[in-house]
Amino acid sequence: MADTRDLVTGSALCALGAAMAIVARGFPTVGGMAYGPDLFPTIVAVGLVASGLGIAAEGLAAGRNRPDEDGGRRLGPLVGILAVIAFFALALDPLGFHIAAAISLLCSVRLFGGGMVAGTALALVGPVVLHAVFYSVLRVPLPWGLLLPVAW
Amino acid sequence: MELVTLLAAVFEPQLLLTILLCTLYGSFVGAMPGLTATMAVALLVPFTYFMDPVQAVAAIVATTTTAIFAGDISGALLRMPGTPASAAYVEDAHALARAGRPRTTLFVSLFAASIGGIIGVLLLASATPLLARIASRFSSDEAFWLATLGLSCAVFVGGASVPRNFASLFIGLAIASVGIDVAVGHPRFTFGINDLYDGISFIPAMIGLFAIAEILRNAETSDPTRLGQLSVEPLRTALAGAWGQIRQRKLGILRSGVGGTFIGALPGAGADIAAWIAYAVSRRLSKTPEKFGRGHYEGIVDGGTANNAAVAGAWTPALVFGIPGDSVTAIAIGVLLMKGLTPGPNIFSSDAMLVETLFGAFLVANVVMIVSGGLAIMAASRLLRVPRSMLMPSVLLLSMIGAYAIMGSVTAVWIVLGLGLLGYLMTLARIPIAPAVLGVVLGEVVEDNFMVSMMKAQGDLTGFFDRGTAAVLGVVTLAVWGLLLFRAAREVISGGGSRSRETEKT
Amino acid sequence: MLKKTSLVTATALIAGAGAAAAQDSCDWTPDRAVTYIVPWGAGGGTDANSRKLASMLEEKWGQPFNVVNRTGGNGVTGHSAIARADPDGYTVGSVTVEINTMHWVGLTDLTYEDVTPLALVDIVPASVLVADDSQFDSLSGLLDHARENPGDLTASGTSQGGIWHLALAGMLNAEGLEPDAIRWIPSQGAAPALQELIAGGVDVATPALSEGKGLVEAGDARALAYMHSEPMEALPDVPLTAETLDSGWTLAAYITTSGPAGMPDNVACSYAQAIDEIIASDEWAEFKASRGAEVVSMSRDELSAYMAEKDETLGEVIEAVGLAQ
Repeated sequence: MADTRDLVTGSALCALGAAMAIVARGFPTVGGMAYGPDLFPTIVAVGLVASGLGIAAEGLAAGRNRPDEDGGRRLGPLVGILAVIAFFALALDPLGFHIAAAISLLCSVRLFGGGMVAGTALALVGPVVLHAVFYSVLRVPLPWGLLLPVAW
Repeated sequence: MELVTLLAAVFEPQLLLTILLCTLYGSFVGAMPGLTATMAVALLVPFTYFMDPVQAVAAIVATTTTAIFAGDISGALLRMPGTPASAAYVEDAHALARAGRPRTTLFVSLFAASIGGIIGVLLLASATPLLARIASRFSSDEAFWLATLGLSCAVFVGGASVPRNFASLFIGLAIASVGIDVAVGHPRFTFGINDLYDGISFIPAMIGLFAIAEILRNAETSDPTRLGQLSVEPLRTALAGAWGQIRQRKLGILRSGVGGTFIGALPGAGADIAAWIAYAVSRRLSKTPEKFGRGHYEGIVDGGTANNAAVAGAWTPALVFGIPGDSVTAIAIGVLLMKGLTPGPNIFSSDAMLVETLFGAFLVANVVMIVSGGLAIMAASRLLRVPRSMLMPSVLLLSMIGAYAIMGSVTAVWIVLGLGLLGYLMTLARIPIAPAVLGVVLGEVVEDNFMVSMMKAQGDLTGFFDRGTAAVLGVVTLAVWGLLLFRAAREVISGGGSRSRETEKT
Repeated sequence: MLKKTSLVTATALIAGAGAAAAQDSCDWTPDRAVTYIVPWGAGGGTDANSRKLASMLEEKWGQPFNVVNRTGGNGVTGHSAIARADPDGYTVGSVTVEINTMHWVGLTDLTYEDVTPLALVDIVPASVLVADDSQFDSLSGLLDHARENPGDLTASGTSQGGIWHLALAGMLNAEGLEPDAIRWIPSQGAAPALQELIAGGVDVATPALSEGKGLVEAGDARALAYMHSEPMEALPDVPLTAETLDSGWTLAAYITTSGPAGMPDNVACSYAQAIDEIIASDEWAEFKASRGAEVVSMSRDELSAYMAEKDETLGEVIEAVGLAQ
């Protein structure tokens, strides 16, 4: 028996290293130099494979699945938060900062188990506060999107 | 006589007010994950147009030094370092905060920061020309060895087994290899995305690996003690406890303060690298190295001292040569030039008064920081009373906006998403995150200097040992890495990795 | 074509231009915040000029001008961001000389035709610097050594194919040497290159003279030449390549304020007019003097022609030194 999680981790690192090394072989070199843009990624790739093998060896030595420190896992909210971030990235330019932020806040409050009232309150207040801090004080040009006609 | 004029100049009400306001501004910006000291200073520049030179420099100094400290606030409370300089000891600070001592921890790092800053100024004032002379001899050879030596810190800070620390370090280095390479300008691993040409800078990387990964862990766990129900100790206990910690560790503070100043004075190194090295040294020399990474004040004291000392150290090459030690001092040089002052050895004779007032303002800023920093700590510990369902979404949005603000592009949000997932998976695989951040920070330095040295020597590896300082640094670096690899091999072969972890758990 | 304006004549010019412009309805002003994109990092020369100009535009028009540093890809990222923005006047930026070089070396398809030039902000000639303990005390000595020992010396200042690399390679080529007779060591900007120079890592650096001015005044570096036809007030003793070299080689980078292509004419001329007034101000003159730079200005038409001409000449240099893709 072995710790399967370590075996998976080790194999993933080896695969990542191998992929890096293969892509790096395609990088051009200049004027017959033995060293070029591929040198550093190749070293990193070797390192990834080596440490992947090391972790797999640890897993084999452990001989059993070690228990987790944390309690149970809930995949739903996890995927939900990832979706919120992706939504924000997609919606920021077309919808504008205020709308995208309000929707993201409302959804993530619900994902963390908050109520509709609390979520709506944060969705209304949050973007205004962030606008004041980032746009007005720190001068970060946040996109206006749909709200461009009423931009101030 | 001259001292009186100097004191009058330093304690001028307008200057003091500027310093106070800037320390408040600095603690606010620094505490926000993703907003760095550099950004705080860049935003300050338009205001410095209306200031006299001393006031302008004092404003920059006060802002930087508090911003570097304030990075610890979100690090301790939320496990999200506000600036990269706080990343080295974030695990310790957060563990202590979770154990019911958030204010003590933050006051420890506030006191350490202030003392580190003061040590830095005193050294800066007394030894600047000498420090600058040493630093000026650093070419790419020395810089390469130093950065490679810095990478070995990864193994000391991680707290896990050697293969896991290395795995994390190489993941960080892999992230660092994205972007246009220095030798021929070929875009690597950019998938045709323009925004990735400059590589993945450590701000979005850090936000992703720490902040988003932490939010994801919070989302999937049902363990309620993660946040929200932390107990906060009374202010008096916190102050007394913090002061006690500082008094116990005088030697470490002195060592980290001096070391941090020196590292800050080296070109290309800065507050973040100073903190990493001080933390690693601290662990090496500690009587209780096994406590590091699990909630131990020693590393916080040493790292916190070193990063603020480095802020002062970075002014050395700036003042003496007009060569910036980091991007903050680069902006500061521009401000000085604008005020008709050319940094260089001559500034010490032609504008001696200004330089001395600058040192004075530096000193005052580090003292005033205790007040502003204290206020920031008090305000921030209120955060813990906010329910998790409100706090986490706010932090999530803040992180995304912070990353967007740095890059000015939506690509930053995608980077944060990808690296957040990566950080989460790394925690699942029991791989520490801190060494990866070190890899991201140092990867480019190592590669650039290596390639530059190779091109200078036309591929002759002995070129790395041609210069005296470089040869010494090279031998030390190779010896340290040799030992590390030997230890790793032994650990893996004997299966000692698993054994040592079992004992660590007890 | 390049005008060095004294303050008095400039003010007179502006007064005249203002009267003429009133008929052209150059009366556009922003009514919300404007994004000002800088393709180079905070702390550099482009950044300092841009931030100063942005703060003065802000004062003039009463709307925030938010400066954003979009660095990366040797300038590609920031220039693309400027060119791809809406040409509504709410996104402008500092287009620099790299718009004339990037497309020749194959980094991007972007050219000067993808932007609307609004005003010239700075002209930045290259210099030739050596460390103070260098064996060379004149440019001709340096070139003679390179001619006899090609590949022996190294130089640095910016990335491979960057503008200061072209300055060196172009000069060597114009003087009849191989363009790589002094080998180029790429660096991330001028600061690390100057560090290498005084640490003895490279023999020569060719950054903007303003960037090395501090070192020269401190006696840690010597300026052998200034690649320009007119002397610099801050360091009047530095020889000009236009006078000392047989080829009369000169090379200067430039910084402009530009918007995306297709900007409406009333917006463009409003910007040009506003920036002209700023450039003629005492405050701008003081700022320039503090950096050891000259106040320069050009009309929009002159600037377009200047960029087109630079594109051609730099293209020839890039071809000649073998960096063209």
